[in-house]
Amino acid sequence: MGEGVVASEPQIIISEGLGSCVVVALYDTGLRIGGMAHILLPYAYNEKKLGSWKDEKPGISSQIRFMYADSAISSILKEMRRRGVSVQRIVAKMAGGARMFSDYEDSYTSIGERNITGIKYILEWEKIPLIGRDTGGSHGRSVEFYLESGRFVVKAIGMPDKEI
Amino acid sequence: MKNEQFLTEEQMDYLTEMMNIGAGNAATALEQLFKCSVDVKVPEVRVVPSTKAVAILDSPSVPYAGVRMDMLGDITGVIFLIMPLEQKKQLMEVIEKSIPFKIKPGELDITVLEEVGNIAAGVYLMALHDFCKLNIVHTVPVLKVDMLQSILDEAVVRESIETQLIIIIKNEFILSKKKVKAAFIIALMPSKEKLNTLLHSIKGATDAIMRR
Repeated sequence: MGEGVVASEPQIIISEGLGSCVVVALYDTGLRIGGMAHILLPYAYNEKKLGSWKDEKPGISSQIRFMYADSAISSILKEMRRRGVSVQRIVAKMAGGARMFSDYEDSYTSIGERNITGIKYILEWEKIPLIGRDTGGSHGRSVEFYLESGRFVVKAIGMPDKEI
Repeated sequence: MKNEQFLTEEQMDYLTEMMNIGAGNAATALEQLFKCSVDVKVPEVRVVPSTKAVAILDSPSVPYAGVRMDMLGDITGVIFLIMPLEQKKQLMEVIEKSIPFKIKPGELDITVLEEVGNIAAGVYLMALHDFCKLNIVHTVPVLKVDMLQSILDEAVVRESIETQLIIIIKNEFILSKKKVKAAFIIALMPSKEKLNTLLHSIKGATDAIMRR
């Protein structure tokens, strides 16, 4: 939970046991470099009262950087740019954000839905197209992200593997 | 594990003793449910940082049965009873055999597991009441069967991301005549607002015992 990494082919990035958490993956099809983060909550900067992630301010510690969608996506983009990735070539996919216990989460407070909305907003602002998503529902997910090809496979108990 | 970060060794020992009483009471209650004598081992009690809690228990995608309840009163937050799916199957077999009428396999799963969660939460929170003078009630239990981490993550994020504290109680019971080992875990996630109340109560109760 709350981890993130940037890697290149032929590596595979895996994240398991997603409930309300969301995995967001960014990928450069040309250089086959990608990053993925296991997000817990949408906005670090709001929570820590540091202004807005749009201002590209530093100040989120590395321990929690990948827990929040805004600091995670900024960090991954920064590292991808550092490795020579051209931002125009980056695409995104995401999975997770389920409401596992509907008795305890309504649509207003559901952390899963807040994560999905937050990530979508951040990607739109960064002008990164979201080309695949498997979100919502009430089941857990695991994800495998193949950097060689950009394949993003979502697994769930009792369901066939889904490639998005 | 940095138990000492929140509680000293003596406080942890005393907390374990409290939870042991809880386990004893749980065994008595479970005897009614399983219709056989139940022996209980001293539970293993750990206080762990939230984002590491799942990693300590098992691999995050292993199928588990989880019963979730909220805590209300002097301590707020979430309390879970969780067990691996294999364990749940064994326990349900025992119960289904002890029922005098015919049922479809799986028909009683939800009812029984939610009731076990209800009983377990009740006895452990009662132990906190008896030793620490904390009045805590739990809400209606709800069962979810899925990957371990996906059952827990919303509550971990909601309650424990800032407290970085979850109390894990690992329980082992033996249903003696059936020779079945029943193991389940209680995960207690106090909310940020009441964390200090909980820690001070445990510390106070330990101090009172040490003074005698």
